[in-house]
Amino acid sequence: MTDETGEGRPRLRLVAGGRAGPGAAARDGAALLGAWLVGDDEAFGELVALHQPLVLALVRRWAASPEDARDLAQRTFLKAFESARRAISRGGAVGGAAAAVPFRRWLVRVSLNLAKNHRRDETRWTRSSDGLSALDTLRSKAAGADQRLEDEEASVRMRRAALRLPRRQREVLTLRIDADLPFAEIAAALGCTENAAKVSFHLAVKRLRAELGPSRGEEGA
Amino acid sequence: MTACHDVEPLLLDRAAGDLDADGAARLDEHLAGCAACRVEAAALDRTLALVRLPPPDAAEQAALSGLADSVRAARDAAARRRAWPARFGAGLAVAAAAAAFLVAPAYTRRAPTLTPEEAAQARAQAAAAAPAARWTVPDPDDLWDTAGALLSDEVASEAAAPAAAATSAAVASAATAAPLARQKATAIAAADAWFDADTDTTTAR
Repeated sequence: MTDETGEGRPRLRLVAGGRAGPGAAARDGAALLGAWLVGDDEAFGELVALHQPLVLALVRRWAASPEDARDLAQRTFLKAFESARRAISRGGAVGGAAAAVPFRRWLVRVSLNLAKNHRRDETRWTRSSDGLSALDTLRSKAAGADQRLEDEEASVRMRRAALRLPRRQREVLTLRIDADLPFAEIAAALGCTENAAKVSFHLAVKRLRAELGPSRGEEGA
Repeated sequence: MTACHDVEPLLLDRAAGDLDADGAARLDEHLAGCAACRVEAAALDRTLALVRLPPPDAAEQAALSGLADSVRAARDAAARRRAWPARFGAGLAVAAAAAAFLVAPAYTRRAPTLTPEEAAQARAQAAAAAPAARWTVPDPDDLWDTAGALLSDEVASEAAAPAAAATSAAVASAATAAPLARQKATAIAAADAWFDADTDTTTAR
């Protein structure tokens, strides 16, 4: 499974758990997983630290609060670790299998599945009351209060619409814009072709664009 | 979309951040001379900007600090919870084996099954016969389906391994023994099959 170790590799933010020894070479995901499976508890923590940004990016859209996001992230990790353990004990081939377990891809799948069963309507991003703090990205164009308010309402509406997308479209969209995953990795995680993933993204954007309503003339270049 | 039809895919690719250099050049050329598509491009940008989440704020980052430790703590707590049914299972196995041992002499072996040694041997062979090369990556959803997500949350596979060995031995002897023991044996066989689903599916292939 080269996708696990291939282009996902640039994760050099490897934190390394604060053990700032110069000799402590950063281990990649496969090495960490292998170490964890033979009982290296340090590796467990490093694996979590390594994948934490990805998991957080994927679950926070569904969270009602920061604590809720943390809870979702924690459950994602627990389930992915348990899946990995099962897979290895099933295969009975620890040596080769450890490297073959696509842990990162499983994290993606598990977080999508957890998110699917999580609350939909009351995320912190679809509540108007939290809208202002959530609109930092739009500050640049927020010249006046009216504009701010308008953006806030539109944002809440659009994020709701995103959560209502058909499942495949929603998954591709969030993997792309929340986690910045390349389409190849999205396709691998969802078990579809890269082209199908792109098509889903296009459909999602078109649908959301329609939700936005007619474009205003002054937004033209 | 009010954009020109043949340009729409380029606009969507651009929105996806997935437009190659060639496409970008073609799109730029078109946009330079087409106001409607410029409006549409801006609308697509706005669409995604509205849907996107802001970067994690301080509260979110604070909530996530120390996640590794809390995941580890949750894992350990779950392992402790799961330890007792496994111990219970082992105790049940011992009880069943004792019952079978007491009652077995009253019956002749009319349906010889594998002895525990043979069973263990067969398992070892099956395990050895499953080379790493043939191991295919299972789907995570399948893992949870076959193992029974509800049950398996309560039993750690590593804690179950010794218990499974004990129960299979008990089942092998109990199966040839008295009806009295059979009821228990059935219960254990069910438990054993379930453990196997978790720890030793190689024999099922």
